[in-house]
Amino acid sequence: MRKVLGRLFFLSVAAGAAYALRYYLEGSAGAKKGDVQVVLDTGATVDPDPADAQEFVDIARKVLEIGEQQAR
Amino acid sequence: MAEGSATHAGELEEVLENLRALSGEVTTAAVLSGGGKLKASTLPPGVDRKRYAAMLGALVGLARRVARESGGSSFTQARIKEEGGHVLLVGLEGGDILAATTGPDARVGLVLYDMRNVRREIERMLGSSEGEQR
Repeated sequence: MRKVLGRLFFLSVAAGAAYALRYYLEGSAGAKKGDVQVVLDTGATVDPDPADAQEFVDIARKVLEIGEQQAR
Repeated sequence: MAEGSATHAGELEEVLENLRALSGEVTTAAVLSGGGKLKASTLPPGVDRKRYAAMLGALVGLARRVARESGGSSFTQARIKEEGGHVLLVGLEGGDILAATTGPDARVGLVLYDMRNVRREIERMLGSSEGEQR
């Protein structure tokens, strides 16, 4: 019984660690869903695919960096 | 004629400065031609305008491509959120673009509302400017 409980505890810790790692990586890596929205002339709103969204975010970062020069 | 377009650029910059004053969350604002040329901006001297225009032009090109691939012919609005803030694009008549940047905590919906409000005024100015040049 003790052995089973020990294994269960170990599995819970491992699952928790995996979940925390996934959460951290999703939060830090690249563009998240909803970061980029494009409204078309048809009225539809589009979330670009992850590769395009990342490109949008990378270019936007540069625009913001250049704009920040005025504060210096 | 050059004097006329300089006057229009000055008037456009005044409208952009008004937008910045109206919406305190706007850090920079600019009007870009369909071809990616910076027509007016609130950038002070010393800021790399060419690079700023090139980067905004790249965003506009990307937004147009996404719009075409999604079944539209162009876009009316785009918002991009980055850790350091937001870049917002609003399409104008004739393919020109009104662009603005904000800080990370800006109320983007409100800024876009203010941008849409000044759009008509900018379109009117750009329309009369093109009329004079013809």
